[in-house]
Amino acid sequence: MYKATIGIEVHAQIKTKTKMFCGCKVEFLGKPNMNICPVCMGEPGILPRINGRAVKLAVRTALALHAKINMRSIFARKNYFYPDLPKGYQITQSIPLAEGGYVEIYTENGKKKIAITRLHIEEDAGKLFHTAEGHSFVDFNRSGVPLMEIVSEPVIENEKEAVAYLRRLRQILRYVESSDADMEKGQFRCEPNISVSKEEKRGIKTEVKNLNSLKAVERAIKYEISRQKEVIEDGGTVIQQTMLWDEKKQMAIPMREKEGVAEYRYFKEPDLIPLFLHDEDIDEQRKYIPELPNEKFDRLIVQYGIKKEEAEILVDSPDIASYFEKSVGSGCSPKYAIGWITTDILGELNKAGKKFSHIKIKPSHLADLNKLIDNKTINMNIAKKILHSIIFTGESVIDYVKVNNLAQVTDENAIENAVKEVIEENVKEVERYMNGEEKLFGFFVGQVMKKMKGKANPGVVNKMLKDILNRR
Amino acid sequence: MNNKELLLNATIEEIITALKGGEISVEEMVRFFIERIKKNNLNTFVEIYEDEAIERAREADRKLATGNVHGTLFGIPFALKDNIAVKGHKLTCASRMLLDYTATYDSTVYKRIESEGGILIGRTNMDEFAMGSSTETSFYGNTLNPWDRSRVPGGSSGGSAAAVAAREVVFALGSDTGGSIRQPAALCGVTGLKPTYGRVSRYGLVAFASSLDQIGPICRSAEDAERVFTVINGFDERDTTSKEVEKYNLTDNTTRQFKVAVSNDLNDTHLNPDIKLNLLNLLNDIKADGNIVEEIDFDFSKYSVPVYQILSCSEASSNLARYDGIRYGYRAEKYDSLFDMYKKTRGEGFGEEVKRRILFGTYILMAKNSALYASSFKVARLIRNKLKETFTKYDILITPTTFNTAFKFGEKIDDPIQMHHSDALTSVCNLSGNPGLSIPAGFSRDGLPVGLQIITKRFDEKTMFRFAKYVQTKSDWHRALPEE
Amino acid sequence: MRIEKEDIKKAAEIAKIHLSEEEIESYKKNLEDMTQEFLDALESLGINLDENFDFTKSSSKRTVLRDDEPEIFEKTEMIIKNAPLVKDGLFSVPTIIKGDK
Repeated sequence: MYKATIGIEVHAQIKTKTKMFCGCKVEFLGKPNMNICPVCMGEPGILPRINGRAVKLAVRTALALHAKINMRSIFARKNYFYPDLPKGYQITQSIPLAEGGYVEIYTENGKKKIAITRLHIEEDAGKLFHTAEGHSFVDFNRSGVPLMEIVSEPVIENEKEAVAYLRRLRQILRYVESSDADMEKGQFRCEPNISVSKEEKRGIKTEVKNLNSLKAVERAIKYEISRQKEVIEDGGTVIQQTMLWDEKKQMAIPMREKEGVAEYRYFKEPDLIPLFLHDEDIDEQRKYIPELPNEKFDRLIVQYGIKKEEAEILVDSPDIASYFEKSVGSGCSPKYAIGWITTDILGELNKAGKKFSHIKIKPSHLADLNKLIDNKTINMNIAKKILHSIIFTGESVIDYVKVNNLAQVTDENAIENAVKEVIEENVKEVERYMNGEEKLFGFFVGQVMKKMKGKANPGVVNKMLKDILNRR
Repeated sequence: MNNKELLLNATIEEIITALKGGEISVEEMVRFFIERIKKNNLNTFVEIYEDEAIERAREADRKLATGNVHGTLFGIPFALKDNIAVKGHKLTCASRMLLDYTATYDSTVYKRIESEGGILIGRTNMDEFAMGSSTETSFYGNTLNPWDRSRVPGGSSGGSAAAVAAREVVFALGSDTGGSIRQPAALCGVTGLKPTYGRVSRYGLVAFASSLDQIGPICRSAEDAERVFTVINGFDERDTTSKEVEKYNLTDNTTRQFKVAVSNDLNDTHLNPDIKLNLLNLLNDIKADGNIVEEIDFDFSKYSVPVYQILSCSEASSNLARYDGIRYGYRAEKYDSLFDMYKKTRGEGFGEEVKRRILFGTYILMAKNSALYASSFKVARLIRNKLKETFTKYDILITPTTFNTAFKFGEKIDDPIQMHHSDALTSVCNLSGNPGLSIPAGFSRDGLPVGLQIITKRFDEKTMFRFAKYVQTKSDWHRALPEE
Repeated sequence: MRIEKEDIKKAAEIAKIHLSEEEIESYKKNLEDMTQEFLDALESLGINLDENFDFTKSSSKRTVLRDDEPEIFEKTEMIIKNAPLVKDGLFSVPTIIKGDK
């Protein structure tokens, strides 16, 4: 039996206004080489200055990951040449800001803690563009942007766990507001290392880069596991190397290394003294830690009796979770609320290509709809119709029902007339029904509702249809 | 004092008094010094900002006329070593690599001097990237020692030291990583200070070895050095390795008794006998005044150079990685790929000594040699602790600044190890972080200046200057001028 | 201490400095001498080589941090003007081709 072992390195852009070691804005809207200064361009004689906000947010993140924070961490230089690296070295940390900690995920076999090795602060490089004519160009707007590198222990066993881990980690960063963690914008970059082995000992690992979505991560890991298995099956050995994921070809291609053997010559950054933290700094950040995704997940299930998959959707966005809780708070049943939110509202947003923040419908609207269903003014279908109509307008539910004359007809005479009409107009179908084709019952219900313009109480319709048909 | 005497020998304080008294104008003074630079032709300057300096001088004269005179260095002409940034001016480190680089920002020291009224005359010659002890590795050619034009001025701040010695400016700034201020100051017969590490902001100083580099003044006298130091010292938020200690203020002139330790380097057989004689005479005078003078066992000069080399070259190999021909500086003309461009640019843009040090530093930082780098700090710690212990018993530690007086051009340039040993007595302070001051202490029989190094505990420049000013009362050596 | 010629070549490769065979020979000798001098110094001082020596000690106990407030550098054109080769505000470099490793 082959066992896959996966560790993941994540680089998350820390949500600051300015760069890690200078006052340049973190902004990628304008022209290239606009947000640059002598410091992030590595001009002769410049010195770095630590962005205090970046440190605070990294501390906050470390707390949310249950990591042990080092009261004294050390900045170090990682030396290598590349056109996007202005100083010829990257400032990173040798003694990291935090060590240990974990992210809890849910697997098929229940809860699992993915252990974190370290979290440290570092600076990003610029961006390199290649042209067909043999030239490359460098834009340094990204040079010096603050990053957190979060490294997991190699305890992930398959692509599903990897995705669950990354999804949860990304949620945590968003919950504590330390990173927007948008993968498409490169704010959350994942580099899994993968090995496969039949024995206890870990096999030779490869690293995969260029993964721009969780889907890509999932496919790349799956691909790499089966590729490595094949290599071993065929009696070969896996080569330790870095692979680039090709989204079009859906395969990982070995990357040509920048240098034969990496010789980064790490040493303490002599331009910075150690980063000293104090208990007050840490306590201050503790205040900013909200209910975390896992806690929320467990609580929502217990408190509202919703399903795991439903809870997962809510947890993925604190905004949506809070919307859900508010609608329940104003009187909507959790069952209705979760359905309306996850199916109807999110479905509509998806179709319109809009964000949750764009909706106008309020949590109280859901409670209103619920009330109208309970007092039989409307049925579920009408409720959904109303819901879809007011998502982006936020009109009052009561007014909408009045204006559009949507109140349900419970008048049994009117319904009885409609039922009779339907039976008379569909003699053949009635015959078939009587001969045992019971599924035609739904057809009759549909016809009645059509006549009633959807406003008939479905319970009454059912009952009356059955009564009349059975009497025949 | 007539005007010429004033300009050649007065202290900064005396010059400012004369300016205020209307005895001389700032413009006259600036023209006087620029004339001397041209006439002396010692190749002390790599560029003179004549028009700009005269413009600023006139501005200062207008202020004088309205009595609006402020600034510790009002109207005083000065020079910067070619590794200290001034926005809009070239900053080349005397290297082919940076011949075309124009600084885009101001160094903190320049801003501080400018706001105290100093008038920048130009940039001075130096060893390429401050790597050398003779100013012979400069892309611009040799600077001549004003005391003997066949000899080196020392280095790497050779241009600054020679310019002050030849009275081409009132003061100049240098940088000191292993002795680059004190050694040329000694060889040129002027006063040079390497402040405590962390006293002066390094922002705008092109880095050689970040944990050893300090900027300091090269001046005519201890009084002037102290005055310039008061201007440039102090915490700078742009250099977070600068220390948040109280800013240095001028000392009073109260004399007192000193407890002086003398290192047994004085008995080293390598020490030039003339230097030894001069220092012994001086120590006798000091003793005669009732000061305690005791020889102690302090011979780290035997070990400092190799340790200094390991540490400084390692950091330099990283600090000089940014010169890659992409954002600024030299780029090779022909290359057939990116990495070929890097190699040719750096192969052609750097001189021999710089390449040697980068290569050595790169080798030391390679993973398999990491014990060498880490262990160099062990020695640095040892020296630091030994000095700390020394200063529990003594106020001052005295050593010669150099083992020898100024040597001839070409004498050591082909023997890097010999050249490196010029830093033996000075690099001790860089490794420990302590301040060191070299002051003139007489002349050898062939008329070459001799330097005395004064070391105190860290951040105790006060005691250092008190003692230096006291020693100056014993002679007129700091006023001696080379023949023109 | 003996240093192999290969070591010098490797260091030159890492440091991205083109060296002639002559230079390699002469630098090799210098580096051997410098390293040996250091080892001799350690020996006379009775200091062992120690890879794990913690040299990060600092006399300061407070790290000065910067506020996260933008400080815009206005004269970016000064920076770009210093570059040897620029096109449309971008720094131009040769593309990595085969043989670069």
